[in-house]
Amino acid sequence: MNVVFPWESAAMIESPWMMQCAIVGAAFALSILTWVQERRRKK
Amino acid sequence: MTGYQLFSIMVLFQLGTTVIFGFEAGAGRDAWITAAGSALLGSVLIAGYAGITRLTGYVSLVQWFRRGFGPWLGVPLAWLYPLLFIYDAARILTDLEFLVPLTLLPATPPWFFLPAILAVALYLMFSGVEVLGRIAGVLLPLLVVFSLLEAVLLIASKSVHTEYFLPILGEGWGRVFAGIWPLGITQTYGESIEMAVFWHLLNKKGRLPAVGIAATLSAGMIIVLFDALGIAAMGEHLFMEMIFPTFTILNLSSVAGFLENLNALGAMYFLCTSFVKMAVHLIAAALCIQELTAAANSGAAVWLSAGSAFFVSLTMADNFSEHLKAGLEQLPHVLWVPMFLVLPAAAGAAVWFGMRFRKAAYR
Repeated sequence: MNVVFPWESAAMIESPWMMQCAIVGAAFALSILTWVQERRRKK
Repeated sequence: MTGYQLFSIMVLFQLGTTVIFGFEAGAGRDAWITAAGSALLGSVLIAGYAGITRLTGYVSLVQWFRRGFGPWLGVPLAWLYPLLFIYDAARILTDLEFLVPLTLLPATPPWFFLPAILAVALYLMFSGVEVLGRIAGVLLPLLVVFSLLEAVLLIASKSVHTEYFLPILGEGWGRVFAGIWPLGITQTYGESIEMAVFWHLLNKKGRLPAVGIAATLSAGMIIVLFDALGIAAMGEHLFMEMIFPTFTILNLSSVAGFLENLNALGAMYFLCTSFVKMAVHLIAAALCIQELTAAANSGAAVWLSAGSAFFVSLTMADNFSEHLKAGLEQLPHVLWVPMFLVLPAAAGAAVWFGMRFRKAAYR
């Protein structure tokens, strides 16, 4: 199976939306970490 | 951090790999005008970033978005930045992956020299921003001296032909403006938003706009100098065709059959500037991650940033032309304009309106 990473230059040229989706998705996923830690600190 | 240290970091960061590739070579013999225009607009952009920093009370970049949009929207927006910084650091590592074998070490595999460069960057990341400032403070004067020496040697060896600049703007303003927007402004100057991660460490915070604008104009002048030397030494067509015009013109200097082939000089300054730029990307990413995860120290964030950048760089590009095309044609539109211009402007506006409403509510 040929895995295509969104940051690969070929993918950036052909489907730049992949990189945009990847970076926004990763930012939202990592935000959960921040929100959980803030909730814990408040308790 | 002193004003001079911040100034040195900013100049070296803004030079980065930009000078090696011939900034805005697409504008041909008018590239120096594009570079000068980009520097002027870039200094306005830096003044804007400094203004937002002042408006938010000299907090770091992460806090701009929290103050502007609150925790639910501000936190995801803030997380975008360390991810972009890691990607940008990986782009520099990929630049070096292609650049070093072509110029310095033809038979050395990238899996050897990239971790070696990254190891030095890791040492610097663990040492902290102050050490980076001191290193940049030492490197900057050397770089300026070598740049001027290169110009003098090229002139002395009669390699500079001022007629290559003519006719100035012969093709009109079209390709000058095409170079300035969006690439000229976002590359180098937009990327300087990373400095907002360190700005709160400045001793005298009131000097921030002056230091930022002075550094931007200084870096702009050096970029204009390199572009002008490239055009004057090689002519428009070669300047546009060459991948590394700045490096190539070093072969042209020959004074009295003694001072020739100054490739070592070029290798030194491209390694210095690209290393500082990559280190700043990684330190900024690590500090943002540390702040967003409320970690007690930056150790885990440093390893995570450097490791991710290394992995991304190894899987980024199969060939150099594809790597350049993605960086010059897609990246500014896809990520840099939204993240260097739109989101900071929105955050600044949100903070400003928030302050106005709060003042009105108190009345």
